[in-house]
Amino acid sequence: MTVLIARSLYDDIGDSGAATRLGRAHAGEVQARLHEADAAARGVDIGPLLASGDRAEAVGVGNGDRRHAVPMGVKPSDRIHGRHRGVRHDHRGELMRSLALSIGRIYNALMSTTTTVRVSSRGQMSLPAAARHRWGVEGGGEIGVIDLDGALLLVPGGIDAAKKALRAAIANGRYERAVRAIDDADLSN
Amino acid sequence: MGPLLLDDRLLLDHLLGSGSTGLRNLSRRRPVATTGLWYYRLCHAIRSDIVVGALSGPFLAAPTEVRARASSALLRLPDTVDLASMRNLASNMAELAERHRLNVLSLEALAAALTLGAELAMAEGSENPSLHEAAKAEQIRVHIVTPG
Repeated sequence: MTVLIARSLYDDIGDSGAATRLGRAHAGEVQARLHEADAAARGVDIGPLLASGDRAEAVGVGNGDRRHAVPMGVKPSDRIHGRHRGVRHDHRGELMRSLALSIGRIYNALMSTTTTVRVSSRGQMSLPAAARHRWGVEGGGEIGVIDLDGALLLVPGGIDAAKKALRAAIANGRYERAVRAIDDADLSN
Repeated sequence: MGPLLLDDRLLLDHLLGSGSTGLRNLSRRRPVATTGLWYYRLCHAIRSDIVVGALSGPFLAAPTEVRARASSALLRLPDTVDLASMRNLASNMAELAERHRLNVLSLEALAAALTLGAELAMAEGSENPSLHEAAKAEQIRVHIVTPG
């Protein structure tokens, strides 16, 4: 069984809310299909994306509106009446809850904030897929690398973006205020 | 043309590539320098909550200490900016202290300008009147420049 879940839907659901059923889909498969599901959530027909033999039991899709998330195969009329596989639901939220598993925990496992990457003998390494997706550099792009001695900080948009953020932070007299706040007569003007 | 000695605010602009037209014109085709205490004050101020707390964009999710360290890393002094050494300035500073009532920061700037044969560039809005007066007395040219 393969399940497509739009990332936007995950984010909204979190750990405790209603969730889309993952079924027995294994982690890698779900991760690989996250981007497809995002496309689906923007109204793209995801039917052709399913591999032969796959059966999406629940998909976060619906013309760009996550409130319309419904299981695959549910007829439009059933969506209206909240009926799914013979189970009657009073409203759409109830339908979602009926499908819920602990998506949040699984999502967190898939989208962990820590990961280990290998560095090749030429110094190359891969940016994790989740970060590539989040920063919009799936087709390539610039990432800034700031050396913090004990660690490297990677920032989207390159060093220029980081400098731009710093320029904004010192604007409106903030730098001058920070200097005045230094309590040392030998450093004052 | 001698070097241009930048105060901390103009040095900040120079390092971030955000200098005003005035600073760019002034520093074109001439070496740029600063003093140890101006650079220290820059590093000190940039780590303050006032600046670090206002960082957003790619730093939004970073904890305070990471933001501060990243900012410091972005402002690491490149080799293209000369840093007047206290090794060469200390005795001049002691001599200048007999003629001018200045704090250590200003004495260092004055001594550096004299030692390097530099002109002083200070940011408009955060001028140092005592240093300005002393520089004039020592025949050092002073530029007041609008920051970026």
